This record gives sequence, structure tokens and C-alpha cells, in this order.
Amino acid sequence: MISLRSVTRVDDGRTRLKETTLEVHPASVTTIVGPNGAGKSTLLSVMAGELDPTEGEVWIADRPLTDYVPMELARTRALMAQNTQTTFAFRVRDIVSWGRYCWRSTPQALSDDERIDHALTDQGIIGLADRPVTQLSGGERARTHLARVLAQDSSIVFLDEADADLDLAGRAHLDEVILGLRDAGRTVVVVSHDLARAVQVSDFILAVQSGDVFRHGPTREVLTVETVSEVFGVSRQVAERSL
Amino acid sequence: MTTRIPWPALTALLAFSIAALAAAALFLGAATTTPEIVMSIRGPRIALALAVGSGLAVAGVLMQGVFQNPLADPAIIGVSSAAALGTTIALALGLAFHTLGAALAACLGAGIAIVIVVRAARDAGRTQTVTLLLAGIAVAAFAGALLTVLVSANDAVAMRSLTFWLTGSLALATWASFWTVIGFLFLGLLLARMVSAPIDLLSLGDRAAAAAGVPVERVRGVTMAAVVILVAPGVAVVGVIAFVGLMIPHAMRMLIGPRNGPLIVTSALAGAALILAADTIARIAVAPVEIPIGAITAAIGAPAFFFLLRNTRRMQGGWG
Repeated sequence: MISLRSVTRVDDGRTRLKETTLEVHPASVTTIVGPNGAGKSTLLSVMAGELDPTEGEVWIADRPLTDYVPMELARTRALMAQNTQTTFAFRVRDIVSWGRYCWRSTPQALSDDERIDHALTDQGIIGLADRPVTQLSGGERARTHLARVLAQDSSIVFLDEADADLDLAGRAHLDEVILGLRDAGRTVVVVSHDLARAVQVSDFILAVQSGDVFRHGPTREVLTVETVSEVFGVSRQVAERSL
Repeated sequence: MTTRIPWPALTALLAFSIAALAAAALFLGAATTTPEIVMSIRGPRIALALAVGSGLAVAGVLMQGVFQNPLADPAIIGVSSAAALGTTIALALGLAFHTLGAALAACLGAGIAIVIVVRAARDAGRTQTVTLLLAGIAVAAFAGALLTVLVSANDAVAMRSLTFWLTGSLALATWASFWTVIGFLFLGLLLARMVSAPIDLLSLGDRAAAAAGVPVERVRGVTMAAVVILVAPGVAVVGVIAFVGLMIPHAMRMLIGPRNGPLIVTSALAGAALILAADTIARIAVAPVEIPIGAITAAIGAPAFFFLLRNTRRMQGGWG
């Protein structure tokens, strides 16, 4: 589904990702882990088409990303980042409806209202639909943006530290959404610092270290005490406690 | 403010107000109202007031949406002054034959200014409020200085005084100037309509908007072009009228909410109504002397700006 073909990304003379070739397993959850500055977000942004590779190509489905126009790409993949803010006091329903922007002038636009209602109901915020987003709590706001991303109805969903500002209940809810997406046959790619939760929800792990994919494989094979202590440069005790 | 009024209702109300205002403005003024005065002096003046007001207000909506900043206004960030400078240079060079030439020269000046200010103010996908306002002050001051020199030193442009350029006046309105402005206004509104939905999504920040399918740089480019087309031709014929683009969109946002599609429609009407009302006051308040219209809009707009400034600063947690 998503494949990187010897992708290198250089920013201001710094190599953030070097000659990486990999294929993300479809209809599964892959979590990218690694220490700060290892290039997790760069890897995710390159996969999602936000950053162009300096060398190499990224393919989604049967075409290179450079072949996609923005709307088409948005119909293929959605992105949820941490702490998304809205400048003006839009209503919850308006914000969720933006997930349908990429479906404008396609036959699927006919079901916009239905899908928006569905996303609102799924996230338990249908009762807040007419509220200005400025009056919501942090958790409600996170659900609003989740609903927006789900309304986008893409086969791939990227989550870039989307859990960073969520409390315990928020994270548990996010995990349910992730597993629900996978069960619906969607491909989910996550960047997270929370290894213990990565063990719970991920099918595959991409462990990165200074711009290199250090390990890529099934969660149980990669998230071992040995690999974690090596990738993160921590002692075995610390690695054990974090899993 | 959770109670918002439905925007079609507001649109109808505004349209009705404009009709009433225009009818009143036609017959208000000097005691002897002849059909000639009505048709060749007041008629174009009223029509031009409506067109210029619409352009300024819609430009304000677009700028605030695209910069994600409630303090953006064409005059405050120097675009209007640069348009005035463009026209003055064209007049000095003898290039401003017909109002169309003047309008194009104004567009060129405004276009250069908006590119400079935006380049200066954008950093890491966000527009810095302080840099935006400061870059605007610098551009406005520079354009104002050149304008002053040109108006003082050149006979060809002296028929329009410095006061005309800096505070605006509709006294020189003709049907020709109206047709030029309305042509550009139509084009500008068309562009505005094209970008209104994607500008809504820019509220998420550039990254999330792009991920949702918005071609961010293209939308920003079209929006700037629309702002220039909406503002500059008006400035070429009536000078700089400040604060309309600031006040009107903000007032409409408070009434109907922040969606840009409805905001554009209602702001176009409200801006038209405001300029017509302000010009009518300018014309008759201390007749036969005219008050510069910019003085009236600034008298209402400057306090509104101050209020917005305080709110914005509070929301951003101070500017150090």
C-alpha cells in the first residue's frame, strides 16, 4: 500500500532519513518509535506526502505520490496531529464537515451529511454539533478533530503524536478508534512516545534511530528489551519498565 | 456568543437597508435637487460608494481568513497606501489615461506591497501578528512618503491633494470610475467565492489544511490577488479609506459566525452600506464643506481596532 523506495530526506544539510526502503503492511497498525530527533516525524511526513524526498520515491497504491493532486491525496490518506487549534469560533459540525472537503464534486459528496452525522455520533459529540469549538474542553476538541479525520474516509490514517495532549481516557478512546479503523480494513500509521500502548495496539513496529530504520517487523519481535535499550540508548531496566 | 442569526436573514436586512439608504442619499443635500444633479453627480457617487465599500469589506474578510488574524485590513497593512502610490506615479508619468489605467497602476502598487508584507510576516506556516502589523506600518509609511513628495512636486498630480489620497473622498465620482471599479469588483468577488471554502479550512493551520486536501499556497496566492483587485481600483478613484475592512468582517463574524462564504456575502453588503452612510454624512453634515470620508470611518474604526487588539493579545497570551 505505502512503499518507500530508497528515500533520502535532507534538511539544511542534515540527513533526516537515509536510503530507506520499506513497505507498510496494509490493513494493520504500524507504530513508528524512536528517541527524539531520530527522524520519526520526518519519516511520517515523507510517507504522508507532506515532505518531498530529496532522493527516491514514495508510492501509495499503484502510483508515486508526485502523481497525486492535494484533494486526491486527501481522499487516500488523512492526518491527525497533536493539539490542532482553530483560529475562529467555528461550530463543531463545520469543523467535522471539513473532512469532506476532499470529496467535493465527487459522487461521494452526496453522502456528506450522513457521514458527518455518523462521525459525530461515533465520537459521542453529536450533542455538541452546534457549539462553537472555542467552548469545548480539550477532550471534546480532540474528539471533534478525530471525527473530522474519520469523516475524510481515507484508506490510510496517519497519527502524528495525536496522543500527546490527551489524558488517560482520551488515549484509551484514541486506541479504540485506531483498532476500529484497522478492523474496518484501514491502514494506520502512528508516531507515539508511549511504548506500552504501542505494544497493545500495533501490529507492526518501525524503530528508527538517527534517520535509519533500525528494525521493522511484528510488534512482539521488535519491541523487546534488547531492541528498546539499543534504539533509545537506555539501560535494560528502563527498557523493561517502559514496555 | 452562541446565538447567531441566520445569514440569509441578515443578507435580506442589509439589502433592504442599502435600498433605503440609497434612496435617501439621492435626495439629501443642497436645496435645489435637479434631475441632472441626481443623475450625473449623486447617482455615480452613491453607486461608487457601494462598490468601494463592498470591495474593502470583502478584502478584509479574505485577509483575516488567509492570515488567520482578526487585525488584518488593507489599509493597516499598507496595501491601500501602495495602491495610492501606484496611481500617483502613473499620473505623474502621464500613464493614467482613463480610470482603467489608474486602476491597473494601483493594482501593481498594491500587489508589490502585499507580497512584501506577507513575505516579512510569515514564519513556519503561521503569520506573526506583530510582524504583520509592523511590516504594514513600514510599507504604509514608505508609500505615504513617496506619495507626499510626488503630490508636492508634480503639477500633473496636484489636482488630487494629499488629503484626498490619505483620507479618501468620493467627491470626484463619475460613471466612468464606477464602471471601472465595478468591473474589478465583480472579478474580485468571483475569486473570493472560489477560495471561500478552502479559507475556512486554513483555520486549522497550514499543515492540517493541506492534509485535508487544500492546496494551501495556491489558495493563498488567489486570495492575495483577490484582495488586490478588490481594494486597489477603489483606492485609485477615491483614495485610502481605512478600517472598513477591519470593522465590517468582525461585526459580521459576531452576528453570523466565522464561515467565509456567508461572511463574504454579508460583508459585501454591510461594507457598501457603511461607506454609503459615511459618505452621505461626509457630504451633508457641515455642508457646503465636505468632511473627508476616511476621517469618519477612522473615528469609528480606530476604537474598534483597539478593542480587537486587546482581545487578540489576550488570546495569544501577550506579545512580550
